[in-house]
Amino acid sequence: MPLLAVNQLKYRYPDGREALKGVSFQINAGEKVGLLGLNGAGKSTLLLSIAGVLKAEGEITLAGVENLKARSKLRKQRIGLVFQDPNDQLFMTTVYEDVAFGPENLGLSRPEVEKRVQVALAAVGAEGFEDRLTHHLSFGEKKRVALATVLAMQPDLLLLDEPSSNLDPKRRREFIEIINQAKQAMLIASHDLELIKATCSRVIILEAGKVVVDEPVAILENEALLRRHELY
Amino acid sequence: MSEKGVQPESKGLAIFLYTLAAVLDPSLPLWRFAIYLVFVTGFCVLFGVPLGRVARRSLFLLPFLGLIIIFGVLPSGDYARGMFLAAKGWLAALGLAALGLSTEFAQLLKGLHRLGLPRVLTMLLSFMYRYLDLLISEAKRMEIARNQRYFGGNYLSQFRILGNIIGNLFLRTYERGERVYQAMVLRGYTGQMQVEKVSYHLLDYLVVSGALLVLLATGVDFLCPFWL
Ligand SMILES: Nc1ncnc2c1ncn2[C@@H]1O[C@H](COP(=O)(O)OP(=O)(O)OP(=O)(O)O)[C@@H](O)[C@H]1O
Ligand SMILES: [Mg+2]
Repeated sequence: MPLLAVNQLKYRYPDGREALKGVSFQINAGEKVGLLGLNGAGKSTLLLSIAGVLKAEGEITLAGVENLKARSKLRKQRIGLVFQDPNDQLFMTTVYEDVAFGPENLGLSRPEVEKRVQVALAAVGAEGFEDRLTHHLSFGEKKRVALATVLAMQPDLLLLDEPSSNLDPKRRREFIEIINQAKQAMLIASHDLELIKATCSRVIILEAGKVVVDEPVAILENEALLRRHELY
Repeated sequence: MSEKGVQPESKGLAIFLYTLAAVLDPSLPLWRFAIYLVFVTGFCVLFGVPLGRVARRSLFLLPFLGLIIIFGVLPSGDYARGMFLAAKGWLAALGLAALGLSTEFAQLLKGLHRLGLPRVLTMLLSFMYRYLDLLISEAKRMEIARNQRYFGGNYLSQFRILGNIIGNLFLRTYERGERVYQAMVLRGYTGQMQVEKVSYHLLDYLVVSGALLVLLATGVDFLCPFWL
């Protein structure tokens, strides 16, 4: 049984733009899947729909639970979304407060919350950031802390939107390590082919709101195919 | 833990009481002026805030003072009253500067919540603090972007561009608000948050009592107006 099954997902923005036109795929527990596609292909929309932020038409089955309600507790606990813009993700004043926000809402005890914060910050190489002000972090630091806020919730499925943009080469390499060490399943939307190759076992390519490729990652070695989908 | 174990709300409360005293002071005799200065100095020494920095910070008051003098004092020629107002304003500014330099705003907000300020209010303030910066930098970026492609023009077009920028800023803020709220809901936000329990120590009580004494010294004027 797959961890996540998406069936015929459709979404139309209020202004009439049809961003998803029937998207279907599955993700198994622990599987890491890359999500490619041109600007405007619908990657962010798809992630927002899976997380339940956007109420898309179609069926989403999570861990065997069919027809998930958009804001159900299960969905929030099991799925973690990291927004493309970290300024949307970090809303508390200090890093500690922000990373602790989710675990506190899960009703964990204080020592447990503190432990989760520490582990999550360590995982993104942001140890000792606890007392720093979120709005004074650099963009790359914000991205890493944004990931930590979601890691601290310990979801089964991580949805990452452009996680490597604005990371310096060292951080990007470390970030690849983080992803590879994590046991969670992930769906990673990115334009960074090398990142996808280094972390994912499968790729899905979106084109104008439709899945056009769903294959093992080795397919990215096929230059003709990349050219055909204008990813090159 | 903040410096010397004094909780931020104790500092906030103390400065609040002190400011209250200074602002309400009806006559400001020299001896009380001295008391106020001694209190602020003691506060700074206790929390390791350099006095020079506090003094410099308190200068932010100058433009306001200028206004008061121009519109309030010069027309009437009542210079004694001008001095009186200026001194009171400066004392209040000193207190705020000392508080600002000794306490993180975020910590202060937490403390205020512990003192019973409703969560909505402290959340609102903390969001303002968090996003004001972003809003300003966004506005600056838009201005830079405009200047890159702007080669002058008549006033009308200037206003039109300004209107566009403001409208755009509003929309961006609005949509960001929406996304931030979604990010909060995704992390299980339901509207309430737990409050950290802290304990107060001797020094907390001392700082607040000190401020209370200052307030009492001012209150003397109200209680027995014929003293001195
Ligand atoms: N809030 C919105 N309102 C209306 N249309 C939108 C909105 N957000 C996105 N769109 C449109 O929906 C389509 C899909 O956008 P989406 O953000 O999902 O693309 P993306 O694949 O994430 O692109 P990118 O690589 O640039 O991040 C685009 O055509 C976009 O213009
Ligand atoms: Mg996107």
